[in-house]
Amino acid sequence: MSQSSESSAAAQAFFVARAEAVDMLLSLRALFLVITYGALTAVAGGVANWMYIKSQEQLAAAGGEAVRMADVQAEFIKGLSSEGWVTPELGDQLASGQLPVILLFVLKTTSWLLPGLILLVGFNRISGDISTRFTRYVLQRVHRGSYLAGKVVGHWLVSLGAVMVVQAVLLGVAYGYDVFDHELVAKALPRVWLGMALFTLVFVAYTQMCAALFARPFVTLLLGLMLLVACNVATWIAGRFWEPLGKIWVGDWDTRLWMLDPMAVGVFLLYAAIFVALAQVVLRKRDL
Amino acid sequence: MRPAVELINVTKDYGRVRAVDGLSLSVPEESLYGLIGPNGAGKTTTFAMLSGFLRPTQGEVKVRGRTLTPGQPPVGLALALPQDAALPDHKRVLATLIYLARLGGMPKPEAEARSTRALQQVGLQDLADRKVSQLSHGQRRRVGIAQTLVGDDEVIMLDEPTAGLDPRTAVELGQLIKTLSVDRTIILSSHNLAEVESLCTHAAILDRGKLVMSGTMDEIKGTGGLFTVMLAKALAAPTTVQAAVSALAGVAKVEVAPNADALRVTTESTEGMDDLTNQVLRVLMDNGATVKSVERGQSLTERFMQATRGAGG
Repeated sequence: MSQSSESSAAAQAFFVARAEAVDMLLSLRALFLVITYGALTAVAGGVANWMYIKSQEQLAAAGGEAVRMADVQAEFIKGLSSEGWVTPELGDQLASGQLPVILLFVLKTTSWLLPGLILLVGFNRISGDISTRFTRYVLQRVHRGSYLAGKVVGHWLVSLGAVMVVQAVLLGVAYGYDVFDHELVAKALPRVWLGMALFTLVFVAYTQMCAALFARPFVTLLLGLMLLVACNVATWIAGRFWEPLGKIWVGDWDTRLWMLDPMAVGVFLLYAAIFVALAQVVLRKRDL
Repeated sequence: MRPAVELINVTKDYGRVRAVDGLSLSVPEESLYGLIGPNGAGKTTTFAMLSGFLRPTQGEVKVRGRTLTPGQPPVGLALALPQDAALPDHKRVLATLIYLARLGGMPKPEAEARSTRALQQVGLQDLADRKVSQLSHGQRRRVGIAQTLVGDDEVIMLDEPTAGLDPRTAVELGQLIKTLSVDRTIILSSHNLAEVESLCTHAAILDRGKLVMSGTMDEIKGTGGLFTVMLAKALAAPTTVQAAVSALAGVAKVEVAPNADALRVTTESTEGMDDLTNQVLRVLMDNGATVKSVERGQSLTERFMQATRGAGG
């Protein structure tokens, strides 16, 4: 077999993805993601535990009995519903224990920064190749679509892997704490991880779209972060004026995603497809 | 014979600047084709369009009969050494070659064996485990050439392959390129006219984005109807010699160099060039001249200067 013989697009994408994942692991990007996301998650978990302990202490000081976690959860969900954070239907699902409040709290607080971390570890994977023109060596052997698919899959596997490692380790650490309802968490975890797979996929695709679009690594990082913030802020403000506008960005759908609500899954899949398609169009049209 | 590479009325604009203007070229199979021109002539842009790195604004590029989708590299048809593309600094030399070979679908053992052989071909076998960041400019260039040798691609495109190399390495690389051209087509873009003249079988001269001349090296140098006799010392009676040579049948024009140490003869046809050359040499020796050498046609440098007269570069 000669180098000239064209391997299939899927085989090319697989090879690029594998090389990308290995390269990211060796360059310690995965470790950076594990450490930063791990630190954030640990802080969020610590805060949740602290709040639980404080509430117990306050109740004890007021002469009340120690409150059960299920009661705290019910109160928290009421609060979320009254503030408009979740729909009554979603509130019922939360109340039924589909997503333990402690887990929701940790996921919700860390999900603000996770997209930025995903961007940070992957912003120069394509734009770095373009700016140094290494793509001129690579893309005479691999079709642009396979190259993009490989980059997205490699980045996604590393990001999702890092998130799952952090969550697994911290769940293990949290095993001994009262705040934690192990049975509920164990049941919810597969759903959460499937949701996280989609969550990370959207922001990996977003990162690669920015990289293909802006080509210079620093510009990719800067504008990528600015656009992320702008999307969140703009849809939040728009949602204040007209509710449906607040739901056009994925930021409003993540809670439902972790319960695998079909609508939320559809929204995340749609955004992943849009970002990948845009990246593909830009990369195909781009002079290298 | 089917052309290995064809450009059909190709134009490339960068905004309002037209870098390549309606260029049509045909590169014969198994030729060593030189692409030359002054700075800004459009060589690198043409090269980048051939390699699929740039999308032509209009026109068509064919490699081995297959029309390339605009901007899509000739994957599996040709390999190129880009002029200003960097290899990743953090990777090791052999690992980089193996990675690139495997991207093209080569199995690992074959990629390893061929990459090792390619490194030997460019004389870098001792640096296989060195990081790219630790290589000199010339060594990086040679790694760039090595990556085109790993496969069996019948078309290889080398953009300024010897630029920045020391003379010895450049000569060795030239010999390697000549060897490789035996059973494949090589397109070579270069500023080094002596290198192109000594290596290439064909050439195209570009100027301001347009093709001004192309063909075999003999055609370009005009060897069919022109030869120059270089003399060891100046002629004692240049006017007499000029008149005697002009009187020979088949001679169209005779020019004597200002210091009378060379004679340029233009013939009426390409027929009987050898006989006519002998007759001219006889006239010269009869007039006491000592002949140093005879060169058919003009040098590529002369033709280049004529073809690109007035160019800025």
